[in-house]
Amino acid sequence: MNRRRTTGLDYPVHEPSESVIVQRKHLLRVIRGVGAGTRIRLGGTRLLAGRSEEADLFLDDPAASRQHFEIIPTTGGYVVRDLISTNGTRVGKVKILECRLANGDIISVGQLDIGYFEEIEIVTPDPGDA
Amino acid sequence: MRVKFWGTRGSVPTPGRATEKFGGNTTCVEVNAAGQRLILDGGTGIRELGLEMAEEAPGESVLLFSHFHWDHIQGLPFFQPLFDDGHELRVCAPPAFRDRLEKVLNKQMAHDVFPVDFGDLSAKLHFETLDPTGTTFGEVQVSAFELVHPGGCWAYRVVAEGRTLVFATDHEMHPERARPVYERLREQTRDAHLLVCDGQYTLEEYPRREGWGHSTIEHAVMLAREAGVERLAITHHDPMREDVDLSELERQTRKTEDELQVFFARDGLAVTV
Repeated sequence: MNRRRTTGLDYPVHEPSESVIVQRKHLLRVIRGVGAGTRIRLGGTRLLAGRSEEADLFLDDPAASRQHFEIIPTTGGYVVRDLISTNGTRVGKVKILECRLANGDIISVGQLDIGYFEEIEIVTPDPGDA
Repeated sequence: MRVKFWGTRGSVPTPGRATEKFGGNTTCVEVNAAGQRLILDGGTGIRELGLEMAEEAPGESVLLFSHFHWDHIQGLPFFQPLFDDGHELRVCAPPAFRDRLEKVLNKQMAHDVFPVDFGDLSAKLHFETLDPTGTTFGEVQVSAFELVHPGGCWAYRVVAEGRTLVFATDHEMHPERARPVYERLREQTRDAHLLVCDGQYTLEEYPRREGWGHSTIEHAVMLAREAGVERLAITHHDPMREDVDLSELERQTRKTEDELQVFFARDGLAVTV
């Protein structure tokens, strides 16, 4: 049976029963600039952001370099790394070489703001799967 | 010059969900410049630095301590390169601390408190005295000056590739009561491109923390402005502050400072100086 409890943080957490799977999703969302609304889910591989055709996330801004930044998964979470771009990469308005991402961080390139968000997804298997 | 923050927490490590953004490791800052790697303090953040270094070819590093309080040395027994006989570590301290250096590090790994003896470490360790007026490591110039902190503490001014970093953790600024010390601090910080400074308290909290050896965010900003510093990184975050608190303090601090670039250091953040 699922129980609802408070954690002392700002959201209650269901304690999962055996039939419920709790997953954490890591998302990028363009929140300002060309392409606002674009969402990408981060996985276990490197993500390249820039103006090149190979980019996983196309940065539609003249300030963006062809290979502007990458996001890589590490044991400590996702890390954003500037790829020696011409105009730099900012996280929370700080120009960075590298930064471990935290929920709500805003990555900025030129006029583009890209949010990094972590969401909880609760997956309840279809009763027909039993 | 590349500076990476591996630990930015003061006093005690604070892991947990509420400190994920700024991190909970205690003080450790890595400086890479002109082919040299300098490590400033060995708090718990040095452990993750060591894991990264273990994936590289072994080489030489320089380790400087601001002082020997727990939170600035406690990561060292878990620093992987110490167990690699291909690695060389120059462990340096100003004259006033030099005679205590090996004793303190040995004591931290004494049999009663740690299963591995300091003498069993495989890396080549060289204990050296740092000339506070200036010591050169390759093309990196390091000078040191004293700060006000219980038991003493040293700040480091690192100059390389035309850039200047000042690392001034753990000190209690008394711009009025200890004017000569403050003026020396300001002079040594003059025109630094990056000042990494203790900002454990706010001015409002300080009356209840006076004498505890730490500065306020407001004093750090004042020092940075008066010294013509380009960027200020606040560090040694109070262990009671969660991410939401530090984010709000950072926002408020930035609101008041237009020319000076201020940020609150966080674990895993690397910047160019």
